[in-house]
Amino acid sequence: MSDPPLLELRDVAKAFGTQEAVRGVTEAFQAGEYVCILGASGCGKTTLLRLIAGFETPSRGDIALQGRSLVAVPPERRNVNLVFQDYALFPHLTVRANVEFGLEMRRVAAADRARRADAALALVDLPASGDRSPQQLSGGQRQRVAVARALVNEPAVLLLDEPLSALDRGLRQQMQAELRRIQRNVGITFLHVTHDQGEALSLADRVAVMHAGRFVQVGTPREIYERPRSRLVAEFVGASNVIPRARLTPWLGPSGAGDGVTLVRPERIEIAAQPMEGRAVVGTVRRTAYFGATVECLVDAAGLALVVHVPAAAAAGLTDGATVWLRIAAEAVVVLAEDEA
Amino acid sequence: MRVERRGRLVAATVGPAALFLLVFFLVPFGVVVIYALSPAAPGGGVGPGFTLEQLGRLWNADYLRIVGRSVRLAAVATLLTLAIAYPVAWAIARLERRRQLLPLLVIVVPSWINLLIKNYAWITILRREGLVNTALTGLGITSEPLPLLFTEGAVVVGLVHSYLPFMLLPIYAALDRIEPALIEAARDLGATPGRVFRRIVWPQSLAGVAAGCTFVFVLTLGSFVTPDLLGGARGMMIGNLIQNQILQVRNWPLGAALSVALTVVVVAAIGGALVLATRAQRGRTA
Amino acid sequence: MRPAARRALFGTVLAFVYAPILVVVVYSFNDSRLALAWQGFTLRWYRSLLASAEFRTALENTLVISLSATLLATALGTLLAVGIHFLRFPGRRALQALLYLPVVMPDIVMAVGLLALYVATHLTLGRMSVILAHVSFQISFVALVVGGRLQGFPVSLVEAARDLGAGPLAVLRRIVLPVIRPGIAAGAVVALTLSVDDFLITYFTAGAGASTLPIRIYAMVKRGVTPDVNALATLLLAFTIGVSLLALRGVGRRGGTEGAA
Repeated sequence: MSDPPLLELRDVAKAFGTQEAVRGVTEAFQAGEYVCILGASGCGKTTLLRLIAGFETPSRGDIALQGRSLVAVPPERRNVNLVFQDYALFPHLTVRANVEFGLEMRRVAAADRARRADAALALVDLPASGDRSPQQLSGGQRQRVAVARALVNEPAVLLLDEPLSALDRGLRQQMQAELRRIQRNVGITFLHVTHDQGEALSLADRVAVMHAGRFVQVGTPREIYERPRSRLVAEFVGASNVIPRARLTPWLGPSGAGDGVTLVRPERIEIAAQPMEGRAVVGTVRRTAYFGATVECLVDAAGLALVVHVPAAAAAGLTDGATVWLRIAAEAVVVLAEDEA
Repeated sequence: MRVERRGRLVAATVGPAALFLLVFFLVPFGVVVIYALSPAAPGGGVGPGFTLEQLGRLWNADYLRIVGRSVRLAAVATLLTLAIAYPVAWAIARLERRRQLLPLLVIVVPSWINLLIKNYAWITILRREGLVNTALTGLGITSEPLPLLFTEGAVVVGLVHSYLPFMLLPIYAALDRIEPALIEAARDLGATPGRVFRRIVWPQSLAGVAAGCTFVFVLTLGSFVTPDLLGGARGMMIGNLIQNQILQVRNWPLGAALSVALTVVVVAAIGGALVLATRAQRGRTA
Repeated sequence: MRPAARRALFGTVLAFVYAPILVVVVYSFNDSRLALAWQGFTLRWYRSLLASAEFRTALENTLVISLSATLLATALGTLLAVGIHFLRFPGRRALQALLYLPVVMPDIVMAVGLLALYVATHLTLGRMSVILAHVSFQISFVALVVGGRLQGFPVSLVEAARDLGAGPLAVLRRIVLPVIRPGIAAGAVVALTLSVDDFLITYFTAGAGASTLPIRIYAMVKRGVTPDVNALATLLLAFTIGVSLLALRGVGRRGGTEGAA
């Protein structure tokens, strides 16, 4: 039995002058799920977030939270909170005063405020930082204060606008795990906007891939990665070999022929330096690149240039110019739909 | 609903100040314009009706002489200030960064001093029993004290002294923005210091020069205190004439007409400078 | 420029700029009625000045007028700058341009205009007429200084405050004003010095009993060069420089701890 959705977007669109930043998004989000909105810069994802937060008004369509329309409600009265990309911590207030701010605005008593603020800071693993000022904190710490400040208000939905993009790589991965832990802990719906596909795939219960103002595919990370619906999504999320279906007959046999375009992920192509059973096609390694855990080979076979990813441990014998055999299982082939305009 | 609240926000923040400016700045100016176009009342003040007579009365030998002198003195003061400020600004800009603050401060501090005091100081120096004359007669260079005060020259000295920082700062800002690498590159390519200045430094400093000249010209043209204290009858400028007409002769329409004329010249000078500046900016980024 | 030439240049210009002022200051301590011969150090001119009822009245008037005007102008000017910066409304650009008018308008024209307004509306000339006149040009300076300070203000701070439930008044009181406090202080200092130093506009709009320090100086100067003018001038000088230097240090210090997250 499905619960009524917590947050519903119905044909939401936003135009700035003649430019349409968001071109009709319809989607429903459940309570407690972690959703990543994934897209390149300029795809409209930040605008969509700001529409939900209330800093923009939709040109058409509706946004409903817990059944009630939000469109006429100003940001200060919506039960959603936003973690800003630049954190937007108030420089003249201490960390604790920052975190308490939302509670203060809603006239929560001082003792309660302090208790809840301390709980929020403990949740984000900054229990002793209450009396410091934001300028004294590192980027990662400020990010956590921003999350605490938003969460302490117990919003129905937490919006995060590229929260990790200002952090360096190692810190980012650490914070990803943190965000996941926090979300599991509080059970609030997180809407996390990002352009980093690795982040989206690893964090989210569901991923919404956004392009040119529309959701082009919404699904679990596995669905998005293994069953992309279009070339756009396929190429956005991970490396890919995009192959016309007709050219796959050496591997799939005559029954595998047909129209259209397919996707085969580089790690799903089996490769060996010796002949293999089944429909193994011979090819030549044009060049290899070493990535530590994996080796990437560019292979010419059956008139195609294929990218193959192999665990480095199994890459013996795969050198430039070597002769190799490739196998592609039918399950590894994903048929792609036409790209939307 | 949100629009209505926004309107109230605007009214609450911008409204009071805008209203104040309207009543105490725009309306007074409007009144002056009206007075300029009104006839003079017999006992002083303004009579009813509309006439261009007062504007026409501006075309009078005495008044024109004063107007002409004002423009002349303002121009001379501007050029002299430029001649003094430019080398100083250049010298400061060439110093290393941390040694620049002190000279700048030293030049700017006098701009905080009351104009009356600065001009009064020149009285003590230039009058018959003042510093200069006492020194000259004391050293035997002259036998009689020279009439230095209450001359056009005294006014110019006072103006230059008062408004030097206003010329120096914009020029310094423009010169400071020139990358030293440009000058070094020019020297490397064989340019003499003279050519470096003429072809590289001067053109890049023009924006600052224009700004400084506009400030100083506008400020000196409308000045009252300096010509009043240092100029006497022979150094009378527009500002003094206006004060005289309004507060002493009580010919409001004439005083108002002069005020309008002065404003027009000032606005034209500033507008012209802005147009030149934007055109120069566009030319440079083109 | 060679160091010797530079030193000569600085020295000459420095002498030109400071000599007159030094003369006034030095001779305010000269124990002699006739300006020039130095006849010993004395504070009698200061004593006679401070004992003079006219001086005390002028001082009181200056303080009352300038402090009241500055208070009012700072409030109005700050609100104006905040409104212009954060809100979009028709006529916004025109208003921004209008702000520059009092800065470029010659003093004499403003003085004449205000007097004309007062006469036409039969307003009695006194302290109030001067206060209102001062505010009319102070507002622009405050708005421009505060507006300059607002240029770098991160919009996200305002949005974050709204997101957390703050209405417009709370945003202003709790977020905007505290963060731009140094700018407001700077604007207030500019306004105060302009008001204390103002002569021409005050001269036109003050009634008989609203004489301020600059007006006293003018009256004394017109009467002739006397040592108490030197003393009064030196006092005013010390005040202006003192306030400006304090403000400069204050701005510098607070600027160091600034910075949004």
